[in-house]
Amino acid sequence: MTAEESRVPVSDRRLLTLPGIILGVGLGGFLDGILLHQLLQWHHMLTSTDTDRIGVRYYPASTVHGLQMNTVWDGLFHTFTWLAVLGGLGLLYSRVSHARGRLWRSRVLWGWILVGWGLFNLVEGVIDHHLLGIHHVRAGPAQLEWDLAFLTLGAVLVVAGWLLQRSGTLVEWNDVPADGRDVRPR
Amino acid sequence: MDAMFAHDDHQAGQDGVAPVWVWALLAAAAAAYATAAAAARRGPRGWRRRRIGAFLGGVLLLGWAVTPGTGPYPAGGFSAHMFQHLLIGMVAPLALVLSAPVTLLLRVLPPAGRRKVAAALHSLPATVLANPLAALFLSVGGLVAVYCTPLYEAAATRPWLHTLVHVHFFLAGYLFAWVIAGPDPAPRRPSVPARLVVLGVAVFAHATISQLLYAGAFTTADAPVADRRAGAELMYYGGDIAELLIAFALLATWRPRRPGPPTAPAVTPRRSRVTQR
Repeated sequence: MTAEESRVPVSDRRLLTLPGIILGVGLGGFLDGILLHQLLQWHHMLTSTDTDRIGVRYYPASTVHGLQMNTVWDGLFHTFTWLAVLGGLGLLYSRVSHARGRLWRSRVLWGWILVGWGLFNLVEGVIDHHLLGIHHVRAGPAQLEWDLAFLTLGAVLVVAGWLLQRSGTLVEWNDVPADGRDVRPR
Repeated sequence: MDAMFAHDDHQAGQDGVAPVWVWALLAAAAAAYATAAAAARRGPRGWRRRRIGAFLGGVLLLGWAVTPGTGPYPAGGFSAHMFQHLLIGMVAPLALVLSAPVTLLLRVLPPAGRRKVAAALHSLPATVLANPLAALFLSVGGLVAVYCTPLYEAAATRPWLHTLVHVHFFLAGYLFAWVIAGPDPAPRRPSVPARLVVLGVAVFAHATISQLLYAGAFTTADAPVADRRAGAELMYYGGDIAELLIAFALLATWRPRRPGPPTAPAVTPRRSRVTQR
C-alpha cells in the first residue's frame, strides 16, 4: 500500500454514517427516557391514551395497573434504546476496526450521532405525539407547543449534525502534539 | 449540629469500617499513583493528565460514597444505600479503570518487576477472572445475592458483612469495567462484539433487578415503599448512565482487530471495501 492510498478518501467518511445515526437514535432515546420520563416525569409511553387517536386503553400513571403498563412499555423502549446503542457500536467496530486514531473524537461520528438524535425526535414526535397521540412531551394546555418545540429541536439537530459531519475527517489520527509525545490510545 | 454528629456516629457503626480508615487507604493509593505518574511523565512516553484526573476522580467518588450523611438521599435509607452502591460498584471503578494503573505500573517498574506483573496477568487465576462471563457472574451474582436473598438484612445489622458487600461491589465493578472497556492489558480479551453482548446481558440483568425491586417482587430489601421505589429508580437510571459510560469507554479504548505491519497507515477502513471499489 503506497502513501497515497493510505490517505482516507472522502467517500469513506460514509462508513460512519449508519453506525453514527443508529448510535444517535439510541442516545436520543436515552435523553428522552432519562430526562423526560424519569427526572422531569413529564410523560411515560402511554400517559395520554385517554386522548389518543387509535383507541389504546387509558393507563394513568397514578394507578398501580396504569403504572405497570407504562413500566412495561418503558421497558420495551429501554430495550430498543440499548439495542440501538450496542448495535451502533458493534456496527461501528465492524466498519472501522483498523482505526488506531481517536475515533470517538471524530467530528464525522458526532455529527451523524446528532443527526440520529434529531431523527429520533422527528420520528417519535410525528408518530407518538401527532399521529397516534399516545403521549405528549408535556400534557396540558400548551401540549401542542411543547410537541412542536420537540420537532423543531429534532430538525435543528439534524441540520447541525449534518454541518458538523461535513467539517470533519474520518478519524483524527495524526494530531500529535507539538512536543511529539505519543498520545495514541494505548 | 449535635444531632447530625450523633447520626454520623450511628452511621459509621452501621457501615462497618469507619470512613477515616477508608480515606487513609484512598489517600495512600492516590499518593502512590501520583508518584508513579510523575515518574512516568519524566520518561519518553509521558503519562496523560486525563488518566491522573480519572484516578483522583475515582478516589474522591469512593471517599464520598463512604462518608455518611453527604449523599443527596436521607441517610440510612434504602435509596441512600443504592446511591452508595452505584458510586462504589459502577462509577468509581470505571474512573479507576480508565486511569490504567497496571499500564502505569508496567511503565515505571524495572524489567524484573515488569516480568512479575506480566506473569501475574497471565496466571491461571487472572485468566479465569478476566473472562467476561466470570466478571458478569460476579457482578450480577452480587446484585442477586444482596437484593434477592436475606443477605441485605443480615448486612444491615452486621458492620463487617456490610463492609464485605461494599468490597465485593467495588472489586466486581472494577473487574467488569476492566474486562469490558479497560485500557489496561487483559489476558485473552474477547472481541469487541462479544464484549458488547456481555454488556447487553449485564444491562438486562441490572434493569430487571431494578424493576423487581420497584415492584417489590422476589426481593428481600425491607424498606418503606416510597424509599424502595426511589432506590429502584436510581438503580435503573443511574445504572443506565454508568453502563452508557462503559459503552463509550469501550469505544474510546478498543484496539484494532489485527495490528498492521509497522509501516501500515494509522487508519485503514475495511480493506475489502477499498479494494472492491
